[in-house]
Amino acid sequence: MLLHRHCPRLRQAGKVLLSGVLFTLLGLGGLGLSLLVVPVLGLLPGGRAGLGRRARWLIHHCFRLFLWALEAGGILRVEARGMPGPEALRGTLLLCNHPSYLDVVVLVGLMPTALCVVKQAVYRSFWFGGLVRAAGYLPIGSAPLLQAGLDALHGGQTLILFPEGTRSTPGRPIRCLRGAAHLALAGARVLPLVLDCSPALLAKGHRWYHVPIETCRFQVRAGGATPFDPLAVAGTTPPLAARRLTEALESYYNKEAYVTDQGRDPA
Amino acid sequence: MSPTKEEILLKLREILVESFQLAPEQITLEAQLFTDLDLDSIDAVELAIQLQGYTGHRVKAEAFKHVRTVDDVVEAVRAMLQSA
Repeated sequence: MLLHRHCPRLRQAGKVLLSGVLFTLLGLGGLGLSLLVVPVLGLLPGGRAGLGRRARWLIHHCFRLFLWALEAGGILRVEARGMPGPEALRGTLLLCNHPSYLDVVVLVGLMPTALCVVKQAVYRSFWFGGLVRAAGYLPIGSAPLLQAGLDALHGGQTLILFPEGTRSTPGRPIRCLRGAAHLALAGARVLPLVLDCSPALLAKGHRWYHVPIETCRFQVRAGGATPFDPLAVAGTTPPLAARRLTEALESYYNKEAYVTDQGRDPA
Repeated sequence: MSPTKEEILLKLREILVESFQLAPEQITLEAQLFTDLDLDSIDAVELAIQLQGYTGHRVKAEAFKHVRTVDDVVEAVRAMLQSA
């Protein structure tokens, strides 16, 4: 370890190696759990809900382990501030900006039971799709997503949604899709979370081997007031209301989130 | 006398600008509703309501099933007005 401290290049190489190992484990671990463990979990009593609960427990603990390795290897350090406990988060829609590929690992590592809204690519993934589907995560692009999201929230679940729909583009203003606004208009209780990762780590356009030499400070903080301005939507139709709320959400995140300009060009 | 295609497009442009904060010049016949104009399923419901007000007919779901472009909407509205 002393050697590492005195030789930045070796330290950097060690981090890239660790990142490679962890990414490989993420894929292989996901596949192994999907093929071998999920079928066994499905045999236990409790039906679909029981399977979902156990799969989420499993993902949470795998991500805790993953985060422990990332922190031990000096790749990142997670700092969570002002996060309410699991009971207070029941039935809450958590909106998060999306600076890094690891956002979901950090958030699920902090919240054992949360449901995530995921891209089709994740839902159908060869590597971890089986586990993601077993967990009951909600895929974007399936028509009844809005209703599925509301049902989950009414059932007391905590829902994690990245309103941008994909990772933020470094150095560009945050742009949101309208799904979060539709859920809020339908009565969802919303808590905004602000994620900051400095220096940028696995941002959009980065590859697994783009690991900064410094330890990334990964902050998660619960935002204060709602990012949605009810006055903005008084007396409008649902399409206009959704557009106004989405603009309010974008300006909230563009003010609150540290928009990194340290993105690299895609390799 | 049913309205011409141009008249329907003018009306549709007015509806799209007012309902969805779009710029008039975005609304060409070739424009794709769900990509170029960024409409979503909730917008589609609103568009159906607005067109119902314009045509005075119930907008049937099957008439809009395969609608992708502004031109498709214009054609669907024209077919609706002619069949009435």
